[in-house]
Amino acid sequence: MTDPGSKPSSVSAVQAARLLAALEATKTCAAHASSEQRTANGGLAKQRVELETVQESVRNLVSRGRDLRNTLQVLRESVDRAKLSALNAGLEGARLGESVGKALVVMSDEQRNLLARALDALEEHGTLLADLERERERCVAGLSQLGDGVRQTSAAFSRAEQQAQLTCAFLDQLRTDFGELFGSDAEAARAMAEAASHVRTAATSLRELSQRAPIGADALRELLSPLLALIPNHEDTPR
Amino acid sequence: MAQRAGLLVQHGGELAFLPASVARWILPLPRLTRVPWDSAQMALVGGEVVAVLPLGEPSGELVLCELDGQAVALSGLYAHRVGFWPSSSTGVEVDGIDIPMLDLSEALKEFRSGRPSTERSAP
Repeated sequence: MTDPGSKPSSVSAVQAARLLAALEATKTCAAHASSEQRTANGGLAKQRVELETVQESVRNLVSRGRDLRNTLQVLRESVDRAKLSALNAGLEGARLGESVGKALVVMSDEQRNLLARALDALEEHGTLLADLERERERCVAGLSQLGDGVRQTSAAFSRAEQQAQLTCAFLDQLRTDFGELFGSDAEAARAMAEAASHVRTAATSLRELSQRAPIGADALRELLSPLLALIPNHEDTPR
Repeated sequence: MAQRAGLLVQHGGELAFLPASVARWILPLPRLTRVPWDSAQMALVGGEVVAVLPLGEPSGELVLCELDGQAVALSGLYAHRVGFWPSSSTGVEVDGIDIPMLDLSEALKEFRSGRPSTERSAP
């Protein structure tokens, strides 16, 4: 068990400050991730609404297709009846004899030919409609799969957002625990870190200066050397 | 060559000729009713009961004929064309092809004998 009053000697104030800064940065990242996931989820929700609108339109197409098929059936029956009427007119003409009824027979034959063509065209329409219905069925299946995918992605985003929020909460707790562990030293460490940052800036400036005025810089380096020795890895500062 | 007026019908995949003096009218197939304890069928056509001679599978058409002064309907035929064609020894010649007269004798004989159907009997 560690005595809460005692401070771990192996962790320096600067290391503690770095840990704290890393904690803060991680928390900021987690908060950003959560926010981005929320935005993405909002976008997905909009897409889901649009997808449902498209699915509704396709369902309407199914109903329209049924209406078209019914109309086509009525047309086919009507043309069939008209064909029978033409044949009956021809039969009347045939009974009248060639001299009187020939014109009627010829006319009825012409009518029958035209109606046969109309029937063929209607058959073709029926085939095209069947093709369209097959395509539409494929669309319905595709849209259904797409809807399932969007729902699953949305659920995954929600779970990820919850996880990011949990991470933020854990990081908050960690920061609190950190503060309890190091007591007021955390504030001192933060101040120290700020000081170190200033010194690091000074060191950078010094390097730049040494390139421009080597003699003056040497004197300054001598002045600052005890201070620079306090900062770990001060050689890593950008040149 | 003498011309014959009439109707060309499709019967069992073959064309056959029905003279205009026999074929009277073509109508969509109405509801057919089987005569009890007989193979014959009846249809109500223009308010009159007409005997129906089934010559094949129902085609959706009924050809109303007049045979020996009696109205008889034929089912199982597809009406094809009406016209005047040169007569041939068996029927008419259409575009150089001999089309025989539709043979109704067997169907009429069966119908007139009143032979009960062995396949199905009415209650």
